[in-house]
Amino acid sequence: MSVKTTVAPKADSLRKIGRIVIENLNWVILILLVLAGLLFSDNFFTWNNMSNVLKQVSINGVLAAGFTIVILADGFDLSIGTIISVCAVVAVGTLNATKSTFYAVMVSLVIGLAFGIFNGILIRIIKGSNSDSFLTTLGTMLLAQSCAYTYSGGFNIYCDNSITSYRNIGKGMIMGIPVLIIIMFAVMLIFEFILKKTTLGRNIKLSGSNRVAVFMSGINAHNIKIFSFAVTGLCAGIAAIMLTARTGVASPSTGYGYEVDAATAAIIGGNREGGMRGSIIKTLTGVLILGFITNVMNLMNINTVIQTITKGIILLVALYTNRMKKA
Amino acid sequence: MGKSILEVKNVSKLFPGVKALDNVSLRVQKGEIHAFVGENGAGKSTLMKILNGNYKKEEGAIFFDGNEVDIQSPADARNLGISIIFQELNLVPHLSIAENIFMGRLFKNKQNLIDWKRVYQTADHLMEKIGYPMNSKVLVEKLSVAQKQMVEIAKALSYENTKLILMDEPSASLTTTECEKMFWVVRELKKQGVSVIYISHKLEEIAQLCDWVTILRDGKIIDSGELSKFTREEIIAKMIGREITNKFPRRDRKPGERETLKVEALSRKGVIENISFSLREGEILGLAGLVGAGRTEIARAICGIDYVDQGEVSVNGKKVKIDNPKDALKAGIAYLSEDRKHEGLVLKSSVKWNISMANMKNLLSLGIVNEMKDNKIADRMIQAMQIKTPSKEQYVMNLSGGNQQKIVIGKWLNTNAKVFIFDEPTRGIDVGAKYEIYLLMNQLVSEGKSIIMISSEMPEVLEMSDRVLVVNKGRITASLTDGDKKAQTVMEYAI
Repeated sequence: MSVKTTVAPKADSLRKIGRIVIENLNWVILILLVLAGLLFSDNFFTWNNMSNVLKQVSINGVLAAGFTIVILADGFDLSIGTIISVCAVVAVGTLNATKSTFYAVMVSLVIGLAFGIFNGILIRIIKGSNSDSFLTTLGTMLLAQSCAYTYSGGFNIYCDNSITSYRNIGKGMIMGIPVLIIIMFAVMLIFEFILKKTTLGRNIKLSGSNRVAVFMSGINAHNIKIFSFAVTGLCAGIAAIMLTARTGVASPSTGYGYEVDAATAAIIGGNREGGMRGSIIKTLTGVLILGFITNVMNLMNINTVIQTITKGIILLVALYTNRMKKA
Repeated sequence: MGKSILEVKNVSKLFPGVKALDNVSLRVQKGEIHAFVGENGAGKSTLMKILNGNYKKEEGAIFFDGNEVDIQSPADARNLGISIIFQELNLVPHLSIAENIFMGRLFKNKQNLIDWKRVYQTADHLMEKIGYPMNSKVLVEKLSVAQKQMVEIAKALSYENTKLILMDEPSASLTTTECEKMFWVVRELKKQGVSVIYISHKLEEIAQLCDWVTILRDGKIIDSGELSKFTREEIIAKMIGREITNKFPRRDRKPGERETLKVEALSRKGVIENISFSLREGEILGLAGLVGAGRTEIARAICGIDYVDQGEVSVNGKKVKIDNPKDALKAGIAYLSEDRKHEGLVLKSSVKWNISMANMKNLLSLGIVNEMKDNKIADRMIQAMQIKTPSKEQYVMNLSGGNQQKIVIGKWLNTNAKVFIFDEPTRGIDVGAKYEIYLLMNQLVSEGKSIIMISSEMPEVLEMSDRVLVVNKGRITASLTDGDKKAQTVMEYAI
């Protein structure tokens, strides 16, 4: 009897700790990675390294923020990678033709937005749920890919380096902070505001959880879905500018693989469809986790193959624990 | 008297809180068509499911073909020779007729491959036998409902030992001619010595087809005997003859004169036909009828959830165009769905969010949620409706059915709706919560709002409503007030 009474609270508190770890898995992993970085490398916690990491993750950060909105609205967007490719080649093409940074940026944003709205309308027409948006955006992905190849003729397009204002988006700094990082935080801030403070954000989460009930409550659930896809498309447009401005080149396969990283970051952060507690802050932790895995392991001279394996395992663990969470 | 094929002795079945079957005994003869009749929830389907092994009986014994049997699963029932045809047909649409008939037991040839020739031949032969010659290679999705029904019957017969077929409302979605044909098939079965238990709400059908009738009410067998011994009125009286045990709050006011809602000639082909009625200020209008009669469909058509072929809706004398629930709400019509878990609530979300869901404009200033107002509305609703919840942040999925229903009602009270359509507002909630919901309805009408109440519970719809419309096969067959508002009359128009 006495044994029982001493054991029971212990097991109980263990379970409680397990619960807390699962609920905050993103933070736990992030802290572990930072600790690993501090332990194994002297260069980790330097301003140089930190701003490098943030610069590297900034493009994925913008994409993942958009992706979060789609996931919360119970959708999935496979096409953002190739939308980036289209936006990139057309933006650089426009830049070279018009010598105007403004036109290049606008063209990229408009194309991204148009593809996003196209996705949303397609899914509205087939009245799709999550799995349908998967397949629909698979179609858009192929479509955007072929557009990119058609426009560029399959060749790389190089930026006209005489237009410095464009390249400055990727290389410049404002008050010592790289522009890329500022763009990422600006986008995240806006989206976090939408999710936390506006009726739109609330409707996104509610309709992601139960579209029918939201529709029956007199809310246009279809428009919410279209909005969510439009947002990711726009993010792809922004990412295309950041990418080409940084590298100075656009190839028709520029955006290859970016959709995977964006989805991974949003999910590792702990977001799931209709998750009422979903947020961009969670996504930011996901983005940082991916960035730190690369950074810390590079500093430790670990093979990139192992890095990818680690990312895969963390994604699977996050998927599993997301199901165990309350919401 | 012939030999009995099935004998049920003192069988009882308990569901949490309800005695679904109470000491039921009956006997089915060989080659007999035996009808089960009773109101919704009388226990007909429960008995069927016990015979088919879907449910386990708590007490009693079942004798089949002279021996006591213990039916644990549908496979056991099948082996004994009992086949069931459910209301919702259980066919795989993308497979052929033959594949559906012989699902899981297709004939094999010497090489242990499927002997398609024999499968199709036997299936063709079976369809012919029941008087429905068809090419058994046709996919089931291409068939009409009646034809699917026949495939089910053929499937039941394809088991060589079938001695008893249970049919749960087989005619629910058939046209008259299709029905005639099905009757013919059932009579052929009878000639072959197969017994049939036939569940139906339609007394004319039973009069045409059956030999014996068993009347169930509240899980008990009220009477059982040769059909010719009963008149139609007697059967109806026995089906409903219950004391009204539920308590309903008193209401001391009369509905006003002003018309708030007017529906004219609302039709949707094959679902509802020429629905016209009006609703006055402060009135509770009951829609009574059998499950599947089209009551919910009328509500959904008014609110623009389902499309309509024609018809007009006016609110306060003004014609309104309603294409979706958003339009309905704008016109002042709120629809409380019968399916609260899927259509009423976002279960994995807080009480607060659910309450404010239908009227975010209340909280809106330039699209930004006014958290203070949001909290205030939630607190007020929780208090006014006496929703039992630890906090307004509690997830709705963790609350009881009654409290969930109050949240859905609260959601609609938080709008500017003048007309409330309550579809089965008390389904699946306990007596205490029911009473509170009745009180709430009374309070609403006393404030000059109007309510349309759809309910399958006869006492509820009779006691709560000022006027009752009876819906039958998508039409309004009667409008009953005061003296005519009796269960007997409602049933007569509903069947």
